[in-house]
Amino acid sequence: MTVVGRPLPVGRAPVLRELPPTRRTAPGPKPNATLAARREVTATLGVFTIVADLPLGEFRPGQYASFGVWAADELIQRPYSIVELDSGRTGIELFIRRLPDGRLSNLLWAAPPGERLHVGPVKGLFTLDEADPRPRIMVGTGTGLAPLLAMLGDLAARADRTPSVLIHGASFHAELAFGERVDGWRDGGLPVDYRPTVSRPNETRNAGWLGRTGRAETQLAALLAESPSLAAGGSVAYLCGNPDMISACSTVLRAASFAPRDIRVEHFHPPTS
Amino acid sequence: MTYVIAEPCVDHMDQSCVAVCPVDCISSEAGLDRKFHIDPDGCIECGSCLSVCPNDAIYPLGALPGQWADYAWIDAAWYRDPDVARDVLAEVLAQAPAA
Repeated sequence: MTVVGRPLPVGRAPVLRELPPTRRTAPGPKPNATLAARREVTATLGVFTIVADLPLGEFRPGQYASFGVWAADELIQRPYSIVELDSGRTGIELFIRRLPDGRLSNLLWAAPPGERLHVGPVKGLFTLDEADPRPRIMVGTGTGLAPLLAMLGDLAARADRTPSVLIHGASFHAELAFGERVDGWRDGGLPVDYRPTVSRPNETRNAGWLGRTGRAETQLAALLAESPSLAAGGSVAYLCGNPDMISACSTVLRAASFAPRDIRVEHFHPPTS
Repeated sequence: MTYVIAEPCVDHMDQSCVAVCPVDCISSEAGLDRKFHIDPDGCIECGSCLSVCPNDAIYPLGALPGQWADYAWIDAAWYRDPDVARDVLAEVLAQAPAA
């Protein structure tokens, strides 16, 4: 392999070197998990259940792992936030969007139950600060809801009584998965204010939707306007979704005098190729 | 396409990228290396590392600033022969204009 860089500054020769021969002998990843079930929320959104052969490592709600499927001899991997990890740390629930050009998501959609997969280590820094007693504002768009569900599920299991607001943005109301689960946590005593919103209220697919409308950042601004005590250090925000949403919501929060440390974010990046 | 760790990592080596890489393809050897390296054969282009680097040291290969073009080679070479990669890094740093 030869790497040819862009033009270098004057006085430097461009890089053009052969790589040294490899000394590596490490084996590649092996199958270590099984696809147990897939439930389609819509044609392009699904809830997957995967069972790992061995318990995953220590998991903090909000973290993710890489999941992979073999296509011929190539392992196609992407990281997905974990919605729920069972008490044995082998049962994994994921919320996945099938992208038109998404190599892994299309493979996962085509995979039958029983398909062998690869699961990587649990990773990520987007985790719940359990010691922070302030109310939590959680904003997730699309499958960006996943790590927030893990956090809320953990709070429910621990009978935490710190108030939370969950804004879930989606294009269409049929994509607002997990509402019943959040309602169940609330009915069980978790003080969570669940605010689903659809961003395309005039589309035919949203006919009959009587709930909130508008983008997540609009709902966030409305929340801060109706509850001024949440601003300026009165709460901590957790944002997960596409970079545009993160940017828009961060702008709203900064305008409300949120300190940078009180805006916790997890970006969902599209592949670069 | 892979991601590359460029000069701003040198002698900083914040470990956030290691904590978030879901395929464990960012490495260095303590006491021997001055920067972390991304394995181009292991990188799955998720961008997790890019989001957390406090030194703005990580770039997609296609967006790597020209003055740091050597770092793509250094990262790739480190996974084949770390000693050679370290020698080239030292050479590149010696030629780099003072900040």
